[in-house]
Amino acid sequence: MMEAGNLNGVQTNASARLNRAPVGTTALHETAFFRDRDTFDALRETLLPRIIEANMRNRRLGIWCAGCSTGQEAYSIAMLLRENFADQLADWDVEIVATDLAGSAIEYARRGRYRRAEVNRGLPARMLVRCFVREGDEWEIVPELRAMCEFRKGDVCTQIAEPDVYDLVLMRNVLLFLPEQDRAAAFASVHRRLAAHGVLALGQAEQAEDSTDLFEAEYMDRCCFYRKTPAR
Amino acid sequence: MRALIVDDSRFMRAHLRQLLERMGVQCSEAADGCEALDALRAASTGFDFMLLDVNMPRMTGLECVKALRDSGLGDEMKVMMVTTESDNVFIESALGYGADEFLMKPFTADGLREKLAMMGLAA
Repeated sequence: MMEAGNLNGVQTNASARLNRAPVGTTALHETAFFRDRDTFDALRETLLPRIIEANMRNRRLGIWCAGCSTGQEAYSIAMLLRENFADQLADWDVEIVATDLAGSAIEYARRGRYRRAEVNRGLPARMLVRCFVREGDEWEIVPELRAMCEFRKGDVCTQIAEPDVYDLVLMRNVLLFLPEQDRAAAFASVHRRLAAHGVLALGQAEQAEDSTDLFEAEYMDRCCFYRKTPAR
Repeated sequence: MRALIVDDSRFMRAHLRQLLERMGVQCSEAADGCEALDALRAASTGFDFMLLDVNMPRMTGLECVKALRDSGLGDEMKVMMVTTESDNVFIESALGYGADEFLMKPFTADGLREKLAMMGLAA
């Protein structure tokens, strides 16, 4: 994932530049459709039904993919919603906002076209034929799903405009690339934008406890999510 | 876990066997659809899954998966097509004939592992 770097707007020393240097390289664009299947299973089976139930009154669902890289995670969420919650969300305002620091990754994501090696990773065949159209050597996400996702350049602390309050934030495999001092700022940014009942998903190798007390873990089957720590 | 690798390319069979054996899967091989059906009939214990090429002499992968599903042979066995074919219509046909998943060549070890996991096979 490609979210890192200038979280405080002031990073001028050499060590900060060194910390940020690898972030623009293609080596860090590691991503895949439905990466970490357990996370998506928990979203489908437990967390999204819970969020939808909580939002029945305002009929709005806001999802933020922070560090979206080349778009596979955002489109995976769009596919998951369409395949499993289409009827329930038929007249809802659903917005998936996806941000990344790398402009090239955002451009790639906006195109919504993927090569064989990319659709071979994590994407069930039935989903491929239902959600993508073959265009030469690439597969293009169908317009209906592309329209659900808005890709914007920015890091986790950038003001990313409306809706700016989210029910679900996915900030997966982003912390790994942040210097320790920036992790707390990243969590604070997510905390400000997360609805009271909202859920934060991190990468499978990441945890919040070492960097912040703003969130507490909710353990699910084979994975873990975070909620806002109740005010004391 | 046991797998039957069906491909007319000896090189591809060896490649798949190597990847699967690293995941702890026991492998048998067949060079076309006819050999695959013979192997299934002869097997004393069933296979958990089959990796099935498409373009093979005597009996193609599509013919094989159809014969397999029509006969009820290996009913519980998962079938994944592993092929250079990549047209959406073709993939839909394979799924319609009874294939469970589809992996396009060339593929990576991670791609193979992810597809197996999708079929509920924790290799």
